[in-house]
Amino acid sequence: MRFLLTGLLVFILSFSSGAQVLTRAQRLIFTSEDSLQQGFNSSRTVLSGYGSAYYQRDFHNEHGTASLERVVLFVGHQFNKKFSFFSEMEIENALVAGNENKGELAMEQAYLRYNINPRQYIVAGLFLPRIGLLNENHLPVNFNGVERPLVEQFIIPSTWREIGIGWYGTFNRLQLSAALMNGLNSATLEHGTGLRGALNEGSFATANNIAITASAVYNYSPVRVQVSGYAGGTVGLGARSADSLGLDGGAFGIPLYLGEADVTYSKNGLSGKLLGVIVSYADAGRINAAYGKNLATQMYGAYAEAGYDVLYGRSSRKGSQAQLVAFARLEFMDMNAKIPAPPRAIYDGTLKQSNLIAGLNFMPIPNIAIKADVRLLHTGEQNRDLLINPAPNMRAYSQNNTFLNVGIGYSF
Amino acid sequence: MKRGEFLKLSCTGCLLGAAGLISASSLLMSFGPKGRSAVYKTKVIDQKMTVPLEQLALKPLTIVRSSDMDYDVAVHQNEDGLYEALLLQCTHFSNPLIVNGSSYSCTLHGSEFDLQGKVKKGPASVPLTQLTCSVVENNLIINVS
Repeated sequence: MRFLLTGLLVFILSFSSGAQVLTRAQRLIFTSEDSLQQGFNSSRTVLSGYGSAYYQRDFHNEHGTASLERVVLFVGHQFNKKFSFFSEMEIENALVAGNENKGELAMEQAYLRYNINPRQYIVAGLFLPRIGLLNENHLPVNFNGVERPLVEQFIIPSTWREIGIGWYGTFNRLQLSAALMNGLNSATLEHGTGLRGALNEGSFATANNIAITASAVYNYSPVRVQVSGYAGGTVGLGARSADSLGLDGGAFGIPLYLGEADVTYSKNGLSGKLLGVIVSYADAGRINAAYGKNLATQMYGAYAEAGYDVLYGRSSRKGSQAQLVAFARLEFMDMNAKIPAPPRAIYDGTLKQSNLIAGLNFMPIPNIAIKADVRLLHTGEQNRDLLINPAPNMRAYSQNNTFLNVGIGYSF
Repeated sequence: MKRGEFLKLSCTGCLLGAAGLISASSLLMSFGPKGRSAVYKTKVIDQKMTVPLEQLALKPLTIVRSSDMDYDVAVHQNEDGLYEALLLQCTHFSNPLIVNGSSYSCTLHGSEFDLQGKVKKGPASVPLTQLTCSVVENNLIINVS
C-alpha cells in the first residue's frame, strides 16, 4: 500500500517537474487587417468537445457502476463579423438503442448568435440560460468532483436548456443577461427529481407558456458575485385542456419562480464557492390534483465548497501547468421543503438530503482531469406510506450511505 | 389569456424591455472599472494603437479598447519590465474575454487564461495571442497587424 501511494505521488509530481510546454504566449501572424479586426480564428468552422467517464461504488447497496457518462461534440461556425452558429451534441452513457432505457442522444445547444457590438450579443435557438454556476460552464474541467454538485442537478436542473431568445452584455465588471424561453411542462414533473422532469429541452416544447430569466454578475477580484432569477408558466396546455383539468393556462399559468445567488473566490491556488437557490411553486397542489402527482410548493438547495491547488506556484516555477486540487463540498437540499396540505401531497423525508464530498482533482494539463472523491449522504427518514407493494426481500432503507467515485474528463 | 391581450402584452413588454436595455447599457458603459485594471480608449491608425506610458503606469493592468476592433487588448509589464500585449480573444471559440481579477475568463464555456496568456482552464488549449509592441518616445505602440 505504501509502495502504491509513493508511486502515485511520484507520478503526479512528475507532471510538475518541467514537462515540455509551449512558450509563454503564441504569436499569430495575420495576413490581413480584416482577420484581426473581424475576430476570426484561422478557420471559420470549429470542432471541439468534452467528455467524462466514471466508476461509482454504492457501499450500502453493495453495487458498482461504470459508465462513459457523456461525450459531447461542439460544432461552431462563424459566418461573418456579426453572425455565428454554435451547437453542442451529447451522447450520455455510450449506448442509445431503440426504446430501451439506456443512454441518451440529445442536442444540448444549437443557436444563432448576433454580435450587436464586441460587448453585447443576442442568441436565438436552443441555449442554456445563465442560472447557477454549472448551467453554462458544465465541462468536467470546470468543477471539482466526479459528480456535478447535486444541488445543480436537481434544484437547478443542469444542463437546463430551452428554446428562446436571449441578450448578453458586458459592461466593464458587470455582466447582464436576459432571456425569454418556452415554459416548463408540469405534466412531466416527477416527485423526487426536482425540476428535471419538466424540461422540454427543445423537443416539441409546450410553447403555450413562456418564461423569463435574467442574471447579473459582478467581478471584483478575486471575487465574483452572481444573482439570477426565473419566472415561468408551467401549464403547456391550450385554454380548453387546461380548463378541463382545473388549471390556469396562458403564458404564466401556474407559475414557478426560482431565485439563485452565488459567490466564487479564486486567488493564489485557493478557491471557494457558495451557492443558494430557492424554488417557489405555490400552486403545486393543483398540479398534484390534476395529474396525481406528489410535488412540493417549495424546494431549496445550497452548497459551500473550498479547494486548494497543492501544486500552485510549484508548477509555474517549473514551467508546468499541472494542478492538483484538494477540495471539500458540503451540500444541503430539500426537494419538498414545503408541500401542499394532505391529501394533495405526502411528505418524503428521503428528499431532504445533505452530502459531504471530499476528494482530489488532478489536471496534468488544463484540459484533462483525473478525479476521485468520496460522498457521504444523509437523508431524512423514509415515509413508508410512499411504498406501494414493496418486495418481501427489499433491503431496509438506510438514511446514510457512502459512495466512492473515480472518473476522468477532458475538454478541447 | 385571449390572443389580442397576449399580443398587446408581448409587444408592450418587448418595447419596454428594449428601451430599458438601451438606456441601461448606455448608463452602464459610463461606469469605470475599479481595482487593479484601467480601460484606455484609442483608435487604430495604420495598423497600430498608441498608449501613453503614463497611462500604463496608473494600474498594473491596462485594457486598451478601440471601436475599430472586436477585442480588447490587455497590457501589463512582465517581471523583466517589458510590456506585453495580449489579445483578449478566447482561443476556443473566439468569444471576447473578460478580466476576472488574476485571470481572463470566457463566459461561453469557462476557459480561463492567466495574466501571461497561458491556459489555466479548458476547453481552450492554445494560449492567447500576443501582439508585438515597442516603446517609442514615452508611448507604447501596439501592432495589430
